[in-house]
Amino acid sequence: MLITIKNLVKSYKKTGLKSNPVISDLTLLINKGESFGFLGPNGAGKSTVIKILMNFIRADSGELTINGDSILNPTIRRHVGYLPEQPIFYDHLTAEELLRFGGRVSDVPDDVLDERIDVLLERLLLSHAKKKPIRTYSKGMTQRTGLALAMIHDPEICILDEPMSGLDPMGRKLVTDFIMDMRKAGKTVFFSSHILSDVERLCDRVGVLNKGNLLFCGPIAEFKNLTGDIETSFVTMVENDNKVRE
Amino acid sequence: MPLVVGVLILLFYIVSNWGLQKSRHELKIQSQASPLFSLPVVMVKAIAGEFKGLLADYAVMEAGSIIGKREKVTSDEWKTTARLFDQALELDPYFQQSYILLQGTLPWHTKDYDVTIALLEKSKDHRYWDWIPGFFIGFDYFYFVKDNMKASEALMEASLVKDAPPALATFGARLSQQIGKNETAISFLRSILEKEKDQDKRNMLMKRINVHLALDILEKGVTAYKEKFGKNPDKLDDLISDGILAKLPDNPYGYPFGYDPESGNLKF
Amino acid sequence: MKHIWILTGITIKEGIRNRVLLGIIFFALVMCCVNAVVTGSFTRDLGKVAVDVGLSTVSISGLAIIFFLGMPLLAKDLDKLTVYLILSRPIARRDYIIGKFFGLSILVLISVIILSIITAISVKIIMGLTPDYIPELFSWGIFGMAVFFSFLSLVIMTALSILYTCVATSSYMAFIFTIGTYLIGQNIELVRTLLKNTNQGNSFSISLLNAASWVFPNLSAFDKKTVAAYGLDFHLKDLGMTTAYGISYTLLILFITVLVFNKRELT
Repeated sequence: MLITIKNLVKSYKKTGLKSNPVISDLTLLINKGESFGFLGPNGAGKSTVIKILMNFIRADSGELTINGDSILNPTIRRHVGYLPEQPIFYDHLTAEELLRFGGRVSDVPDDVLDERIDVLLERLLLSHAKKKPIRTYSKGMTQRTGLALAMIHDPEICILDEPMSGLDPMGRKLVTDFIMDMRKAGKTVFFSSHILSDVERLCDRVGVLNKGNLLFCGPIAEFKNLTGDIETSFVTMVENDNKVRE
Repeated sequence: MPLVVGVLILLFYIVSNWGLQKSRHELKIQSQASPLFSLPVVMVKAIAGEFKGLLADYAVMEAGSIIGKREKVTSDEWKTTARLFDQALELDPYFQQSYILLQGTLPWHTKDYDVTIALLEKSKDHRYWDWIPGFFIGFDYFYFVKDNMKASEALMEASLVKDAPPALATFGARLSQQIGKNETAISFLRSILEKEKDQDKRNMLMKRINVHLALDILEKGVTAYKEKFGKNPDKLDDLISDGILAKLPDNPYGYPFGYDPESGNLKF
Repeated sequence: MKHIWILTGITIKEGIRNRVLLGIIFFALVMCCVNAVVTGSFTRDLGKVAVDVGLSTVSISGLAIIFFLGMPLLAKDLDKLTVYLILSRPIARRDYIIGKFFGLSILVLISVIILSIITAISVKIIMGLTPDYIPELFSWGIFGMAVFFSFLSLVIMTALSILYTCVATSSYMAFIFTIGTYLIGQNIELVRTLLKNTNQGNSFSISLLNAASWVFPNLSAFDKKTVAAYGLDFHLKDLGMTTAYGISYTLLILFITVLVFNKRELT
C-alpha cells in the first residue's frame, strides 16, 4: 500500500453547535503502481481529501500515510508530485525559474535538473515560453506548467486535482498521454476528475465520492459493468445515494 | 524541542526589554520632537490634510512631555517647545490647551517674550469669544516686558470680550496711570493664581506674590523715609534703625533685595 | 536549512521584478529633490534638517516596501494559494515562514541601502553648498548607525506583518493591524513618559500602558534621527540593549508566527 487513508473524518465548524460534515469515515488504500481515479459530483469532497493528503488542511481524525510515513512529515513530499486544481504561480517568474526552484527544493541535483527542465518543457510544448514570465501564459500553458512542476523531481507518486480542467481538446490529449506515460513508467497516480471518458482510459481502479461518503471502490471494469457504461453507473449511483439521504 | 526554543526566546526577550527600558530611563533618552515638526509650517499643514487637529494635539503632547520631565529643561529644548507650540497653533489655533500650557511655561523660563506674545496673539485672533489669551498678553507685557502702555492696550481690548471680568478694565486703566506697580502686579498675579490648578505652578505664583508684597512694603518704607528725612535711605537697614519699619520683610527667594540709594529703586 | 535559502531567493526574485520597488525608488529620488527645496526654506540648522528629511525618507520607503510589496505578496500566497507551490514540496511550514521573512527583510534591506546612499549624496550636496550650517558633531558613522537602527525597526515590522497576515482572516485586516501596531509602537514611549512626568492618568491607564509596552514593540527606541542629525552622544549600552531588544522581539514574533501557521488551514 503506497497511499493509505483510514477512517478519515473532516467537518467544517459552522456558527453554533452544528458542524457540517464534509468527509465521513473514509477509508481508501492505493496500491503501488496503480492508477486510481477519484470521481464525484462537485462539492463531494474530492479536493478536500487531496488537500488533507497534502497536509494543507487538517483531518479531524483518521490515519493517513504515504510510503508508510505520516503525511505530517514534510520529507515524504520528495516522492510526491502535486498539481492543484487551479494552479496560480508567482507572476514574474519564468517557467524555467519555477522549475529550477521546484527541483532544487526537492533535492534534484543541479546537473540532472537542467536537462530535465528542457525535456519536460519540450514534452509539454512549453519550450518557446521557457524564459517568458508566467503572467503572460494562457490558461492551458499555466496548467501544463503546473504539471511540469509536479514532475520535475521525478516523483513516485502523482496526486493530481482535476488535471484536465480548463484545457482545450489539444491540451487534454497532451495531459492524458502524459499520464499514460507515467503509468507505463510504473508511477502511482491518484487523480480526481469529472471527465468520465478520460477516467475510463486512464484508471485501473476508481472510487466514487458523494457528499463525503465513498459509494464505490473497485476496478474500472467492475464499475462499468454495473450498468453497461461508466456514465450511467456514475449517475445512477449518485442519484440513488441522494434519494437515500433525504 | 520547540518548547525549549520558545522558552529560550521568551527569556531573551524579557531580559532585553527589561534592560532596554531601564537603560532608556537611566540615560534619560526620551521623547524628542518628531522630525515632522521641523518642517516648515506650511508643509506640515499640507501633510496633515484633514488631520490637522490631531497633529496639533500631538504637538502639544510632545511639548508637554518635554516640559513635564523632572530634569531641568535645556534652552534648546525650550526652543523646541516653542516651535512645537507654534506648529500646534498653526494647525489648530482654537485649541485651548496650547495657549494655557505655553503661558504657564515659556515666559517663566525663557526670555523670548516676543515669541510667547506672538503665539498668544494667534490664539487671541481665533478665539474671539475668549478673553484669556488677551489677558495673558497683557500680563506678559506688564510683568515681563515691562511695557505698561502695551499691557494696558491689551487688557482694555480683552475687557471688551463678552463675559470678561470687569477687573480687566480696571487693571488696564491703572496701568495706563502707572500707579503702584507692585499692587498691580499683586492683583494681576492673584487673578492668575485663582485659575491655576497645578500645585507646582501655584506655589511659584504665591512665591512671586509674596515677593511683591515684600517689595511693596519696602517701597512704601523708602517713600515714607524720603518724606520724613528728605532723602533716600543709604541702606535698607536704615528703615528699621530710623523707625520707619518694625522689621525687614524676607525675600522668599532667599537672597537679599537689591537696593540703589541714588534712585531709591528696589530689585529682587 | 538549504530550503530556507532557496525560498528566500525566490521571494527576492519575485519581489524585485515587481514594479512597486521601482516606484518606491522613484519616490525616494523625488524626496531628495524635496529635501533640497525644504532645507532652502530654513535659515538655520540646514544640515540637521537635511539629515532629518533624508533619514525619514529611508524609513518611509522601508515601510512602503512592507505595506505595498511584502504584504500583498504574502496575502496573495494565502488568498490565491500560491503557497501550494511551495508547501507541496518537501519543505516544512516553519521553513516557509523563515524563508519568507528573510526574503522580505532582504527586499527591505535593498531599499534601505539604495535609499540611504541616495539620501547621503543629497545630504552631502546640501552640506557642501552651505558649510556654515553643518552641525559640528555630525559624522557619517553616526548617520550609518541611525540607518542601521531604522532597518532593525523595519525588520520588526516585517515580522509583524507576516504574523498578522497568517492570523487575520483577510488581507485588509492584516493591513490594519500592521498599521495600528506601527502607530502604537511609535507612540507608546511618548505617552508613558507624558503620564509619568505630569502625574496625570489613573493607575489603570498606567498599568495598561506598562502591559502594552511588553506586547507592542517600542519603535521609538530605534529612532536615532536626532542623534544622527546633531551628531549627539550615543551610549553603547543603549545601542547594545536596543539591538538585543530588536533581535529578541523579532525572534519571538517569528516563533509565534510559526506556531500559528502550523495550525492554519490553507484552503
